[in-house]
Amino acid sequence: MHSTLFAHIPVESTGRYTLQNPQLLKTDVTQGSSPVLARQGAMVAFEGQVEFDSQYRNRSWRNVERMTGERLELMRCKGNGVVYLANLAQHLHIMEVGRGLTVDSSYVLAFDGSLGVGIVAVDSAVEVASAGAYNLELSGSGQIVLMTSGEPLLLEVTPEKNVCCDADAVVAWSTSLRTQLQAPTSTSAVWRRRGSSGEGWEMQFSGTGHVLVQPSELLPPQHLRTSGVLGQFGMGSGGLRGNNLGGSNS
Amino acid sequence: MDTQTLSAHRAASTGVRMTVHSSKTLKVTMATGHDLLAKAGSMIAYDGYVQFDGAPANLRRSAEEMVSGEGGKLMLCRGDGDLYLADYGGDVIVLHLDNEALSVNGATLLACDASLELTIEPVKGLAKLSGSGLTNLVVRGTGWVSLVSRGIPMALDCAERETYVDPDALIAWTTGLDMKARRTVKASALIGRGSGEAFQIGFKGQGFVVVQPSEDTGDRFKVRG
Repeated sequence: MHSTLFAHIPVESTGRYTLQNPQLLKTDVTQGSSPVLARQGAMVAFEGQVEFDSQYRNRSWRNVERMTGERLELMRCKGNGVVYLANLAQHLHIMEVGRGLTVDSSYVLAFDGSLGVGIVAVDSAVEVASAGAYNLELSGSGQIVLMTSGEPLLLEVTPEKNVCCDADAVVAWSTSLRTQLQAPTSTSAVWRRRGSSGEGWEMQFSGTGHVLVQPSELLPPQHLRTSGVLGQFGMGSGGLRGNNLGGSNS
Repeated sequence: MDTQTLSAHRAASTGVRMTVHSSKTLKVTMATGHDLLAKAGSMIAYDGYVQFDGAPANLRRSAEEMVSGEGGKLMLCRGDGDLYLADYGGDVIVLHLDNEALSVNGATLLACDASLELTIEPVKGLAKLSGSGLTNLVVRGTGWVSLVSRGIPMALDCAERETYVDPDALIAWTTGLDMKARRTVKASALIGRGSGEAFQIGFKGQGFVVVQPSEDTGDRFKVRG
């Protein structure tokens, strides 16, 4: 049997997280001391002996999640082997958290268990589609894998250069940045948020750091596991395809 | 008109029966006597003289449904020329079977030579609970097969150690592998603390398994309809 397929055999691992291809993450769970925390249900395949456990969240954390709607259901992957993770063929990016990263929980695929996670309110009371009113803030030393619909754009923010992004397209930014929301309206249509240009809320970033923007102004379809017993057991994808609207990310 | 940027996207002419153009489009070189079975509605362009018919009568209706999803159809393409097929922007994989067999997860089959034999075989053991269905489609013989994957696929070798696959991400595997279902459901899932990964199919033996980086095996016709 010969095929174009054999260009897609597993790549060599170079550390804990390696990109098998832009849409698939290869995670070597034997490396590193802390467990790998991954989005529930993101496992595509694994080799070796790997266990998947739900990550325990205490009551106060669950309360915060319920109030803010910033829900990130994680599983711990531990054992001895290699796990392949992916979500709806979205593009993946491995990054060092460094001095802190603020990200919406729907763009997180996996991260090191050693990272500190908190839920923060973004400086606005408005719930915008992509960067909601609340976000996850990660700190500490470790790596995180983000996912974007399509290939993203990384913008650098310096004190001399402010950056404005469509709030629906922003994925993540350095925690050190100051954010401000503004609506680009003209006098002709102040009462209509999207005005005449079709642009909604803009997020303005100032300070020193980076902003990650994706070429799509839609939320990825998340939390769409079927409810009921099947959903509880992680099976079935009935709700998924209906919400995925026939688009593939590329 | 300046066609410089467009001409980079021209399909290369090759003598090979099936080639992949820009990873999302399948190019089939049609010749009289070498008919092709394809998912109905997957044609995006052709040149030359190509005719499209309903599926041949010898193909069992259930096999047809399996390939094309509920209410869909297979079509028989014949003629001379170049035929271009695509399935809603999915990545196209081309395989040549040399008197071999490949087990395919129904909706991922895009096209295959009509000379190949399509059969439905039951899935054994616990794997049938996995959501990918009770039966599977087996393509057998000598000829070309094309599959479609949501995102860039990956081929995993099962010879060295056991490989476990999420059934929703599974596209195809070579027959003759030892398959077994593995449950990772623990008691904690019953009290709302499941890990989201309940069933995997384990493969072991000489051969490979193909997975896609997306857990959505549904075909696109249902969405549009």
